[in-house]
Amino acid sequence: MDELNKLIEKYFRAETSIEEEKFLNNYFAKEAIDPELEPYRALFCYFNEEKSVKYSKKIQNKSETKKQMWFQITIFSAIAAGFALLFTVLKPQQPTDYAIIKGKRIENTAYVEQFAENKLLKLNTIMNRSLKPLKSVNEVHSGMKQIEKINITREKLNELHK
Amino acid sequence: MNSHQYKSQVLTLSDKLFRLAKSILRHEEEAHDAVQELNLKLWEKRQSLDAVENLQAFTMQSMRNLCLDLLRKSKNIIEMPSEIEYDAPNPYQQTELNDTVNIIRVYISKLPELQRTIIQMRDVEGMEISEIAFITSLTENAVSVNLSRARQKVREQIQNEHQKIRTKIWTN
Repeated sequence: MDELNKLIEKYFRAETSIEEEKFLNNYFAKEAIDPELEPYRALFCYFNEEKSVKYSKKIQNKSETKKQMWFQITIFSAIAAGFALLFTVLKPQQPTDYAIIKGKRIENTAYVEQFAENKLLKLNTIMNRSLKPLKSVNEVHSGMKQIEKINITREKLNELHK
Repeated sequence: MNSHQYKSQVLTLSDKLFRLAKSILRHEEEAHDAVQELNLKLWEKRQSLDAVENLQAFTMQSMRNLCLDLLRKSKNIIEMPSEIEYDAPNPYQQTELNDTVNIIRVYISKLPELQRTIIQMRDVEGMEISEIAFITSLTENAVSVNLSRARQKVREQIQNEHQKIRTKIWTN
């Protein structure tokens, strides 16, 4: 017992050899130990627990990283080539109708129709706005007709008076 | 050093390197990254690794230097002065510490970086004082002094905690 206590003291003074420390490790791993030394059991348990900690991730060196990069590039290129081929094979037939809008050749008929309809609507608005002054001229004209009627009446009255 | 030799001589040290990085950085994810980063650096210099006499000591030294650089970069060095007084864990911490091994983990994590690294290399990795001296760039005597201080601090904490438990039992 005294020897063990001496060894513990030696351990805390950092004077023990690796062999002696292994002996202490084994001693504290036992189920039954001296109750006076029980508080130190956790310390040696901690060291044993730490020894079992493993590096859990996969280590990759640069050549593996490069290989992986080339593999990814190959996969992505193959996918891109596949899409390109698909679009070439399933290419829609060339449309025959087209319109030139703002100097560009447009083959989308729906777009062209919509564009034309918008333009016609705009034209209609402009025409309505332009014809508004003519309306007031018409009103003046009908007003003048009433004045003409007064003149006729006046002429008839003059004739009767004569 | 070819790829096969690299795997058998360097990659086999990954667990030790990870434990050392974890002990210095006190962060598992950062320790993983540090091991990965060191591995990339060593792989690039693998041709010159043949000339290294003690590969384990060399890689452990490189790991420590890398971790210290990372700590400096992240300005995360909230190191305790070497003669710090320990505070008792607060009630919240106490509930977190559900077993005595975790209490020891906290005591060791509160040691200054150098003492933490030395106790890790000696008591967990079972390394010789001469190897630790090479890794930490200290004399063997300085390593022994730091190791003794680290162990004594942990011992004091264990004894204080034990005393508290005994007092509690007697008062109840």
